[in-house]
Amino acid sequence: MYEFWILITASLVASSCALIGSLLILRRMSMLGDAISHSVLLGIVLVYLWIGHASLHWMLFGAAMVGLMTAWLSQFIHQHAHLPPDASLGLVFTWLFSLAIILITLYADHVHLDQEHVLYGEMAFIPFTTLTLANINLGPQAFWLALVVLIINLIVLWIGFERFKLTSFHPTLALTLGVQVGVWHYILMTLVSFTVVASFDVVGAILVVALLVIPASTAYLFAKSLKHMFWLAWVFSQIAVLVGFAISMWLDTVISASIGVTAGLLLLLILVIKQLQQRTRSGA
Amino acid sequence: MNLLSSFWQDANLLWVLSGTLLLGVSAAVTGGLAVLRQRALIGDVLAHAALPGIMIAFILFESRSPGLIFSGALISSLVGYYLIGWISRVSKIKADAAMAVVLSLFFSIGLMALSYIQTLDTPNKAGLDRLLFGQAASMNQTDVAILSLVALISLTLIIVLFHKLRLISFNRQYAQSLGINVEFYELVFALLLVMTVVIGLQIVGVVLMAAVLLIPITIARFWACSLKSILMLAAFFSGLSAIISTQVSLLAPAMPTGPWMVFILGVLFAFSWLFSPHRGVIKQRPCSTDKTQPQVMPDV
Repeated sequence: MYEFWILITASLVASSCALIGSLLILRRMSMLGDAISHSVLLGIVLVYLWIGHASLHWMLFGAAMVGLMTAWLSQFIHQHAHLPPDASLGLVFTWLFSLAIILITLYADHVHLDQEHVLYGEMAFIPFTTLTLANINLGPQAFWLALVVLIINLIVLWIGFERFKLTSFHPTLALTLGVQVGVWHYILMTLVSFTVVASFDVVGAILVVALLVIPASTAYLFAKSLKHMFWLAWVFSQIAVLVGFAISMWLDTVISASIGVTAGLLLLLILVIKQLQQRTRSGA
Repeated sequence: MNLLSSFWQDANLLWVLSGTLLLGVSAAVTGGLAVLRQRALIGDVLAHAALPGIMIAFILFESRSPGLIFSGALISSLVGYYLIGWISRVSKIKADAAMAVVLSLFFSIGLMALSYIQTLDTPNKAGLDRLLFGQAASMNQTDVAILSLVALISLTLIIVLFHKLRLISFNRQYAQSLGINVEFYELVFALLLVMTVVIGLQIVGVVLMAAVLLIPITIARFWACSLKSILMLAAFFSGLSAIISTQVSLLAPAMPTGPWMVFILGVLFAFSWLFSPHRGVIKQRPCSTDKTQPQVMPDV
């Protein structure tokens, strides 16, 4: 049961990330996941200082708010201060992150944040925090959180599929057709924030980036349509979770990092094979 | 006044001040050139990419000598730098996705190696993870000596090669047609950038390294028009934030220098945005020729 809960939670988180990541790749906003996964630290710290203890839903709320603020502020600076989008993103998230660290040192007595936790996540501890309802043990809390986030993502993506497709591939056409491009942008940003924040707690800051970007990039190499890309990204993310988990059992390393490494090596392997194929084809 | 005089007597703080000052100045200039080439977040990627090199060097040699850590980090950051280029060259994956892929892959490898080290039975493995967060306060004379060497090399090289680097950054094709060995200068620039990142990593930590590379130039471009003066102003603002942040750590000893440096840079950015003579909120009088945007977007 212990391994089962870890695997199923990781697989749910990876599914959410693969779907959202595909849209980020197509919109050339890949570094946004990295930025949000850093700046949410400020949200978590602020909630700590405000209500004084770690309650999961308030943490999620605070972190999601700061995630949205990161997306909005960097967009605002990009447009009004004439900065390149990546520079304004870097400016915003590093500043929020440094503010979070300053607050942590200022109120060190009130904030109990573990650096290890932020880095690695707490994958091996997933099964220990369980959710009980009317004295029935419903299984780990992290599992339910991951499930809820995945369901929200699926519903929004299903409802807005055509809109997301249009605004990702033809933003100008979408504008002339009267689609609210800005609204869909911020809906996507909200999904990214929720996904990053919920996953962040389970898998740690950097694996979120790996799961968002790497399976989706791998899928991007093969995909012929957006739907196709979603499916492929999902498949690659599940392969990464399964193989990565096996590797971490074998080498006794951190689960989250092993999954990230597996996903990345899979992408590099596919790139090398494609290169070799191309070379033999052009040689023949 | 009392504080100031005690400051100059405290040798350790002097080291910290000169260290952060040197780092700030050389990061502002090299990072500034990177931002102009549409690679503002490259510092973030390179800083994360240094981790596996450090960890693997430790596993292989079981030592924590600064030279070993420096070369391990240098090699793996450089591999990361070229891997970004390779991925976006051989496939249709865009540069931004390639950067995120390299960042997360390398950092995962580093964390995996770190967790492997923690299962090992070797002495002096403690404190390796400190590198992730940076520790300016623990800087000593040797660190500052290495730092000044690197800062001196990179500043001299940038001054000497300024015209070529500027040309390549703004118009790569033109530079190539003039017979300039673009590949060679790209390598020199990559080395400078990686060296600065690797050194800065130990002072301000992984995340804030990116900030020190990219924020100064975004401030400076509010105040000047030509590249030369923008880079000089970036160095000035970066140095200013280094001085203020060391003073803050002096007043409140528990305060980390790196985050304060970034915080002050952010405040300087907001201030400059309001009062800039060229593109400010209050005044809008653009430079006659806007040289801060590359005419040809370099294809990375």
